[in-house]
This record gives sequence, structure tokens and C-alpha cells, in this order.
Amino acid sequence: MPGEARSNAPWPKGFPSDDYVRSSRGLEQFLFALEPKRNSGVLDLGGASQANISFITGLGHRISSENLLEGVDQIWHDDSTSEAGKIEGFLDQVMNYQYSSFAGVFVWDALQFLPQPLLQAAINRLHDVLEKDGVLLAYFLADEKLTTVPTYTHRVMDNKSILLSPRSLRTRNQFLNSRAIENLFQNYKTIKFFLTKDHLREVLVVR
Amino acid sequence: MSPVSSIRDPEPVRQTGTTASIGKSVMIKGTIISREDLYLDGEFEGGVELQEHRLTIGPNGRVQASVKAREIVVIGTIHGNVEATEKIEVRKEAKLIGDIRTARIVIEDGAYFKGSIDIMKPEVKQQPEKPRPQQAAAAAASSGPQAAQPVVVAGSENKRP
Repeated sequence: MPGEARSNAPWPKGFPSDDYVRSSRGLEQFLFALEPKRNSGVLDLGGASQANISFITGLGHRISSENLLEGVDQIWHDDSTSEAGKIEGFLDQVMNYQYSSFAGVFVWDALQFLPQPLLQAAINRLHDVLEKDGVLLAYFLADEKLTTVPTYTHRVMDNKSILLSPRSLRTRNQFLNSRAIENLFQNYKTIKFFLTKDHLREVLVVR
Repeated sequence: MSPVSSIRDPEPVRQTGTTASIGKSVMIKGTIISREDLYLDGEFEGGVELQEHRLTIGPNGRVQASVKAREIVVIGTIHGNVEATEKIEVRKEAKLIGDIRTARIVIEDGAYFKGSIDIMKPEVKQQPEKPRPQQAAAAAASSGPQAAQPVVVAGSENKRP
């Protein structure tokens, strides 16, 4: 399929190809920010997972699930539609939360795989649906050279660790350095970067 | 020819044990209210209500409806809001688009779900309030030998002669 983002390239070295648990300061801070809020909404853009549903609802929150990358695959690669039409279609069909607002959004590693024209539109939509002082957790690969990178399913194990399960290899649409990430979230109140020992750059953004 | 004969004959609703079944070639529009478990493997549009029972959407089931049951198992597709007072199970082949309200949820890896999940506390059936020991003792002391009769509590089926 033209523009298909999934790849059959060999698994890159240095990236776990089996499930692994990593600790996440970003997750810890995300959950800390949610703590004073009760019965709030949390949006998980990594798709539905039992672990995340149990964890978030166990904290007394409502959870909404959406698989952002699956949405991209379904809508973006339709060559019969104009770019503007695809953006509109994506926002209407995949990121349509007109009756909801969220105190937190798990974006995980999805943003770097969004086509460039869609990226800012998606971030603006998240700005619309996040409540004031709502938090967003996103991961970006820090390795600039790789274009085909692994995607993982992220499952919250406890308030500071995540189980990552390999999903597929995808073509990264853009490498986002710290400056580019700051620019993307310029409408948000604060942005916090967490340094990690592996390939990931954790980012916590406050609306 | 009667007008009905021009419509594709639906499979009759079969009963297996205490479970009613709607087969994969059946298409229904309307409201289903059932007082027994239901296995729905056909196409359905409308509303389903099985207050105290279990609803299974089979692998061929395509439901566009608001659904309410005690327990719901989804193997096929549901497009609509779903409420399960006890538990909902979304199998890996399932596709569910809609909001879920339930006491417990099991969602298998690979299941497609788009919507929100609201966990509600399971309904606790109200037990009639038992008299506290001190009150019972006081009542027994004040009313003499007649107090030895069983206490009739609200909702009990005991009837006085």
C-alpha cells in the first residue's frame, strides 16, 4: 500500500524484541498530577489494554481508548482524498471527543509516526480535549539516525513502571528533537523532559 | 402470496437449555427484552435488554444497539453503548465501538475498542435490616412471653396466621 508506515525491515539492534519492563519518571509525574482529581477521564491513545484499563479505573477514573496509529493506517493512506480532507477525516473519525474532556492523555510513542501535516492538527485537538492543568505523556525516540523504528504496546504495571511489548516496525515520519517538541506544544502551559538511559525521551506536557 | 413470504425467512429463535439463540442469517430491527440468556449471532439494530441475564454476541453477530445485561460477552461486533451490571468480556476477535459501563471488564489483546469505560460499583441487593442484639433484647424484655414469637421483618414471606 503506498505510504504504508509498517515495515518488514530487520529489527534494529539495541531495541528489545521481547517484553520488557522499564521505569518511567514521566508516568510517575503523570499519575501524581492526576492524584488530586477524582472520577476524571483518561484517554489512552495506544489502544485498549486490560492492564491500563484496570490500573486507571482502579484509581477511580474513567478511561477512553483509541488506537491512534491504526486510525492513521486506515485514513491517511487513502490516495483518493486530498490532504485537507484526510486531516478532517482523521479528526472526525479517530480523534472525535466532542462530548468528553480528559484530565490526562497517554500518547505513548505515537506522535513521531504521524504524517507531518497531521501532527500539529492532532496536538491542537488534544489541547481542545484536555482540561485545564490536564497532563499528556508522550515518548519520542532519541536516536536521530533511525528511520524505521520499533513500536511497542505500553502497559502500566504500577505507578512508576511500564511493560513494553513489541508491536511492529514502522517508518518514523519525522525525528523530533527537544526544540521541535517544544514548538509543537507551544500552546501548552509547561513541558518537562525526562532523561532516560535507553533510546526514549519522555515528555510530560501540562495544558 | 402473502407479503411476509417475500422477506427472507429468518431462522427461528432456537432455545438451547436456558439460552435463546438468534442465528447468523437472521436480521432483526427493534427491541429485545429477554428473561433468559441470549446468544445473538445475527444482525440486530435497536435495543437489547436482559436485566438479569447474559448476552453473548457471537462471532457473526453485528449489533447496532444500546445493550444492557447482567453479563455481556462480545466475540462479534457491537456499535452502541453497553451496560453490564456484573461483567463484560471483550474477546480478541471482537470490535466494540461505544461507551461501556460495567462493574468488571475483561478485554483481550487484539480486541478493537473505541470508547470510554466507566467502572460502576456492583449493585448490592439491600438486605432487610436486622435488629441489633441490644434492641432485640430490650424488645424481648419489655413485651414479656409473647416476644418469643419470631420477628417478622419487612420483605419476609412469613405470614401471621
